[in-house]
Amino acid sequence: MKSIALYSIKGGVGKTAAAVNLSWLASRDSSPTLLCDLDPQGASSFYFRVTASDKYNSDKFLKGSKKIYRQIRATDFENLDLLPSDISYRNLDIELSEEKNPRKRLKKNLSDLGEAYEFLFFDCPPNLTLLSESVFAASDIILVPMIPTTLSVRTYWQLLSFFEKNELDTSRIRAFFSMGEHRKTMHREIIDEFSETPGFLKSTIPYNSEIEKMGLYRAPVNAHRPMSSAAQAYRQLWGELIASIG
Amino acid sequence: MEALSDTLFFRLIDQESINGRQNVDFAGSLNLKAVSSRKERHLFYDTFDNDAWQKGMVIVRKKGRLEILSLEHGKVLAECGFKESPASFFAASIPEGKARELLLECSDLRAFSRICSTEVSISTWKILGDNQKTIALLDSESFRKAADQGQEEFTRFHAVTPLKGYNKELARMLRALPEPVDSYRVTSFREKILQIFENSGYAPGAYSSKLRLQLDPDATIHESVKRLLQFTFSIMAANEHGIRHDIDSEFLHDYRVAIRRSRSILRQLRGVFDPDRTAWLLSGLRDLGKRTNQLRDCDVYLLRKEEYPNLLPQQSNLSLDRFFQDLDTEKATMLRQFSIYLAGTEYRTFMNGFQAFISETALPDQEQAPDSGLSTRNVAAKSIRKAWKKVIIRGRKIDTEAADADLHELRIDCKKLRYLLEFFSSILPRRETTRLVGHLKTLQDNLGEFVDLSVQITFILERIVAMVPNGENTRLAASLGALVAVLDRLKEMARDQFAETFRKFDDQQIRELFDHVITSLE
Repeated sequence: MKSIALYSIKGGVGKTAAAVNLSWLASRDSSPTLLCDLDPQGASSFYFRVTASDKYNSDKFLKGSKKIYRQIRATDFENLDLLPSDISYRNLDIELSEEKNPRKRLKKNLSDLGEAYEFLFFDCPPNLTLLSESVFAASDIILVPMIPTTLSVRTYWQLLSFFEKNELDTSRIRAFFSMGEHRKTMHREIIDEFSETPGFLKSTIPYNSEIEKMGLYRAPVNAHRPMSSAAQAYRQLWGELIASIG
Repeated sequence: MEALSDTLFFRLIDQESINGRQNVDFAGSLNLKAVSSRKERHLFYDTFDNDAWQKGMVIVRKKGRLEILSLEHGKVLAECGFKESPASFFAASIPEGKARELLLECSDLRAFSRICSTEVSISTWKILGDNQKTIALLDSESFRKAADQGQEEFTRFHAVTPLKGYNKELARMLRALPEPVDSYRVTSFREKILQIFENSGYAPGAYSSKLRLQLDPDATIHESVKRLLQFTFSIMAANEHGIRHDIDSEFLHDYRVAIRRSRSILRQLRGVFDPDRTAWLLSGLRDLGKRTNQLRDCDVYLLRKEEYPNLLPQQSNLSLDRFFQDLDTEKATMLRQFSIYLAGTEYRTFMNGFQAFISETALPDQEQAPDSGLSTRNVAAKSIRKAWKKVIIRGRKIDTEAADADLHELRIDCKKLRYLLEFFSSILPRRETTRLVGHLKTLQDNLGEFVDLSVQITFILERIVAMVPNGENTRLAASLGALVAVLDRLKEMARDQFAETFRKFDDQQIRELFDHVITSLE
């Protein structure tokens, strides 16, 4: 099983849109895929019309194994399942700090999923907390969407230095530009500047109204508008990512 | 209703199309969205012994794939690519993987034959819950015989399969539906399959070569033997088609066992029929046995296609390919000849006579058949005791110097005893008889191994002697010679084991067990 975390310290950079579309693309090749929505806002869950059961909360998430597996729901798309988030996830990092070995918790809790799924995606909340560290330990790839702006790029360097400081393997980090607007000079210049930087994928997800409309039709743009430029960009990004991780 | 973990199968009582949803209560109450409509051809396979069915599996070929389904809930246990639609195939011929493993577990000897074929029209709907989220899929399947295109459907089933995590929601929704008695009823995957089979004229489990007669101990032995002959006759008739079409080696095997069983009982229970009236039957059966001896030999050697080459010295360039090729050719010729015979008048006349003989109800003349009126119980006790005694006496005479033929004779005596025990098993104490047969089987396995190896060696040596010396034959003769050397070693090992095996069989405890079985009849 390959685990891929869509992560950024900054919010509003297109993590959820990428998680929804890339997990959908991963499942198309008859590969059983699970999208794990870790963001208490539950946007991924919303896009797939999935709600967690009333009895589900962060406490159960931390207990792991069967408590988690029972909450997994099929999406409307074959081979793509989702573990919905719950509003109680907002306190996950506090609860996590009370656990033994909090950084390894997520990895341990999801270890049995390898038998059922080929791909596991995490849609992470925007911050750098104990939960993020737990995600880093559980992921083969940390995929970072970035708007081509100075602030966004800065968060990437922050992440990199965090990894170095904590002796984590930086080669697991992949970045790509998201919500890129070609007509903006700064966007063009920044994309150009990083085009040869190791760890940066060449595919860029354009700023596209079809992605915003996902909230209306509640399905991945690749399933609903496969010919749109956004859908094509996600396909290209997935192709590049899968080639880079083998 | 508990949360649903499996597909739920329904049948509509009025069999109305689900398209007219307003007329169908259970569908009309659900929020449905059409997904697809398609036609498929489903071909079902199983062995002649229904090995897959016995193991709770259904084998179906659809859309270029072979699926192994669980008979219990219809889930796919394994699948693989399967482009062709053969009349029959062997498990070993499909691609490696779980599907092949499952089929090999069913049988590595028997072929999987097409048992029926149906045209299925499938319409699929999504069942939507809150937020228009799909919570389950509803399939409506309409079945027609494949040969009868344009004909009326013979059955229609609906299946509701919950999506992962939506079992409870679906159960809640279905609970709110009208009572099943109104318009539909809950059924099972097994019933669906049985409906398909039944409409195709196929009944799983109808054939078994195992003798399971329920005898009346007080009925006349004449009646009981006739029931046995009715069984063996039916086995012979049932296997003719498979022999003629060379589906697998077990058709001929079962056919020959039925012949041997009939002959053995008829000859061991001589006073039951008028000998003048059974002479033709015995000689006809003997003739059929003889006619198929060589054919069976070929099958036996061809079944060792994998085993024999492994017995040759490693890294030698010896090869048995030609041996097997020749056997293939010989078998084809013999099979053609026997198939012509099976279709011919002589055989049909014999089988008609056999059938007429087993349909007679009157007891034969008492002078000609003095035992015919005796009770089954009485004859069983006498005949089993006699056969047992014969085995013990002959076995005790066999020492390390004994000729192969003595062991061969003992094997035949054991077989006779086994046939009697099997014939009368329903009137014997079950547990003790099973144990007794178990001990006898151990002895038979040892003797069988010895005699089979001895026969193989003779067969191969005869072939070597008959060869015209030339380059190619010399190499084959060398290979066969090497094989004989190994087989001979194995044969001697079996001979060495005999003394110990027989000593265990000729044991006080087994004798007591035997007495217990027999005295229960007296």
